[in-house]
Amino acid sequence: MAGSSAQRDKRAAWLFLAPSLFLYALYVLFPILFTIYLSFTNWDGVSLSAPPLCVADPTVSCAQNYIDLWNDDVFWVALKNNALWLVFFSLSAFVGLGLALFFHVKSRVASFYKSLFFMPMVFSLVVVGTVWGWFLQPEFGLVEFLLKKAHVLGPDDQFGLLADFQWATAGLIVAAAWPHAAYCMVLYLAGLSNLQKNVLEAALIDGVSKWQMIRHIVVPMLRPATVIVVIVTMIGALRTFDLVAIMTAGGPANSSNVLALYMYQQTFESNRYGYGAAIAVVLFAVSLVLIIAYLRKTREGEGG
Amino acid sequence: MEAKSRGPLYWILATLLLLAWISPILASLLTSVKTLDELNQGRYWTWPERLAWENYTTAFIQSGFSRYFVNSLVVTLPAVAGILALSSLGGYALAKLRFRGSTAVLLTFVGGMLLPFQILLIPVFYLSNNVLHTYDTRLGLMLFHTAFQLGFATFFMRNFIRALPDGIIEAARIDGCSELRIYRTVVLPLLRPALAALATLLFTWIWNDFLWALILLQTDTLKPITSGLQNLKGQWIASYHLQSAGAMIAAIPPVLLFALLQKHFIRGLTMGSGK
Repeated sequence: MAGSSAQRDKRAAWLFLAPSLFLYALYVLFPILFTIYLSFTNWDGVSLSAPPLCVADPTVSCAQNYIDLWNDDVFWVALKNNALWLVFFSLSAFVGLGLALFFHVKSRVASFYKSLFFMPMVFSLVVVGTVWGWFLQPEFGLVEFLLKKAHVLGPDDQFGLLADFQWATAGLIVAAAWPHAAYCMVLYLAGLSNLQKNVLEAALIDGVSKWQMIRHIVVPMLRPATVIVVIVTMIGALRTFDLVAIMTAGGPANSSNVLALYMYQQTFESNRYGYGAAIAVVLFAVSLVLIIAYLRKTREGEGG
Repeated sequence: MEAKSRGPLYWILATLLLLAWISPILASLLTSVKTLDELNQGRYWTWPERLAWENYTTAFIQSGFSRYFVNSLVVTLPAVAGILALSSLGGYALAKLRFRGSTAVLLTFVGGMLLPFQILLIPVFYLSNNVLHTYDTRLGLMLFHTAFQLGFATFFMRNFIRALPDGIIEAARIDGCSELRIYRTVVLPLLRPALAALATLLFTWIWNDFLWALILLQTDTLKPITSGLQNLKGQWIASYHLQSAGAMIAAIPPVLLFALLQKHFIRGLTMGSGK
């Protein structure tokens, strides 16, 4: 046996991890640093060099991109929209929990129903965007048709949710909540299956009402699932891109824009790579709070 | 403690909920089998005169959809294979081998899976363009997905492998097997359920990706189904029957996979959430 067991382990471990770490460093770790650097430059995406702003032009601050960002109205609209997403997208978790509680039934038919509820989770967001775009279509969509049938909308009105300055984001969040609630439902159903029977049976014997049981026993016992749901939901709200790009392109007039899409537009449509990098860094910084919280939780699970 | 049976009121409510839930899909399905004439006459939400299945063939064949389909396969399948191989190796190292830096490596992988993609966008674009010269190739897109998903995948495999009993591994070590041999002959056969679960998740996520296909692929004939469909909607503007048919076609592979492998999928989602 060559070397001690610890040495052997160490050699094998780094050997096994080498290809993964190489790819990961190349495509994930270094890019983070590179983007942060770029946010202090004015790179146009083509030149081979990208000096920091304060070097290229001494009259300008190194952090000029961030200063411009601070003065950029669209940035603040996007930030506000991400905040709205954080709040309202989270409601889909409650829908998922409700559906899980409702369908926590053991039968073949129930399983069939559950499968259909899960289905939106596997659709590409392009599909979700297309389906919901059509569903909410102002002139011919099903929602508009039903609203007119129910006389909620007059015959000359139009249900232009996605074309409305104030409500476009709401339409987007509803569409996004559809697959996400399905995902939360899966997590909560798994959590419910793991609940300890004896506690629940003891509570039933004690004569606790169903509602009380749900509120005071089941929900607290679902805490592990809830932690995951909260983190994934908040990360999802912060990095939302696909649906906004597909359904409204941030419009009308940037009213539904979000940081992720704005970054893409500034970078690839306006060729302001440095500015886009700055937006990305802001998005990263906001997400960092959640990432660190999750890492802490993971590390605790390891025992430090 | 699930209920074993419910009354008829429950099932009525359940059915209503279900119909409301899938109504967007039903709407698209209905529109996808209507003829253009019918739509032009404004008869959107009536039962179709006849089922216009030719919309599907039009969408699939005439617009190059089939090419997008192949592209999706070319990108997704090798990526999934690569990720499974690398993440199970790496997961084994993190789970069963003791070495300094093990926790740091683990946290690196875990942190990466929560990143907003925008922080990677420009450098990966630059990497593909100027360094690796993989820009506008399906290989480039495949490489990115392989690298990025390693975060979650390694974490996932590591959690699973940790739960495997140490005894058999120790026995093999005492027998003098190399770690690689132990991994191949002792551990790998036990990984089948985890690999199946992970594979279904990865396939779905990579197949459904839109942003990176948008960034890393320019030529239309190389695009996968996601950006391809989005492109076609521009061509099919106001042709709602074709748009709906296209969306349904794009939805089929993950739905099929899900229908066949639902258990693995669910297990993957609930296991992968970490302990």
